[in-house]
Amino acid sequence: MAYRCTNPSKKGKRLYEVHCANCHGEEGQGLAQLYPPLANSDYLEAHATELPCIILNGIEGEILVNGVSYNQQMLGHPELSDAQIANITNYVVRQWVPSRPAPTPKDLKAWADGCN
Amino acid sequence: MLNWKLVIWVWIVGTIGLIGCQTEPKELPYLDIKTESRSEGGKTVYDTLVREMPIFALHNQEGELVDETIVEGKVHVVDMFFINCPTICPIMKANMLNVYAKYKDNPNVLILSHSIDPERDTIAALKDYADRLGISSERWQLLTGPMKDIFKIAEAYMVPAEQDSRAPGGFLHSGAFLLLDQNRRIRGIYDGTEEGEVEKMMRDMELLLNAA
Repeated sequence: MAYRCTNPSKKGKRLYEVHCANCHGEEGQGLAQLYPPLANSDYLEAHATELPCIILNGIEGEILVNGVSYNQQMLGHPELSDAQIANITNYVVRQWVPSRPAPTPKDLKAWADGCN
Repeated sequence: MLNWKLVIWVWIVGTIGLIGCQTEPKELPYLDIKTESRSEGGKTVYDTLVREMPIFALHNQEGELVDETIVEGKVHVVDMFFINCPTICPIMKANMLNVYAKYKDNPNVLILSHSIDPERDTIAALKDYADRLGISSERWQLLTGPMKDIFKIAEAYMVPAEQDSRAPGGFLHSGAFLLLDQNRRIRGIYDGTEEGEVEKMMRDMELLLNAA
């Protein structure tokens, strides 16, 4: 299938670089035990459907990623639109959760509707 | 037959190359200097003074009270941060971690990161942050103290910081890394969010360490 210039994954990459990469890294590598990695992350694999809610509301409290404890509060991003959050989610899942099929727009909407 | 045009051309290019190498500074400038005038024997004399950074008394992540004597004779790097900073701090910390990794066994180097959010960044919080970053206070101190003291220090170091409820995380501060020499004088200011600038800083640190 041919991609058009408005390939949502590209938009997602740009948004990821602006809003997420500071902490999680351009390559999803994270930083030490402060900011968890997204690449090769068992936590992300298990919680991929919660991504839109985590991006919107942030996350607080201890989590275990690949057996390592992380406990740095992530602030939410209420300034992002539903479409922007969907694009970031799409990018992150395609990039770093290869075990999961790329989410469809319907999936993304259903995941986002689950927040609050 | 000798091609004289070529010989001259090579000579010119070579000379320019040599001059270029020589202009690479071998000594770092002093960045915080001021001129003071005084009268001596009826004449006005101007002195150029290099300002030393102010004294301080702050707590580190181990709960120890530390003062300016900890940087005595050491090349040191200074920055401002706070734990809940969602914007530039993570990149600054990732870059500073490279500096730490390079110098963690060098007793002539010290890194001082000042928290500008003393209410939330308690000693216990700083200790947890340091452990998660995997750093030792031996080489990298996370400092806290009364907010007015920290802001005064930030001003002296020429790295503006202020409380701003509209800013993400509640504070605004510069992403600068300051390089100070063994006598607490500022010798370089670098953008701590730029990997290339931090590499330049590490080259400058070598100059200071070798000059000692």
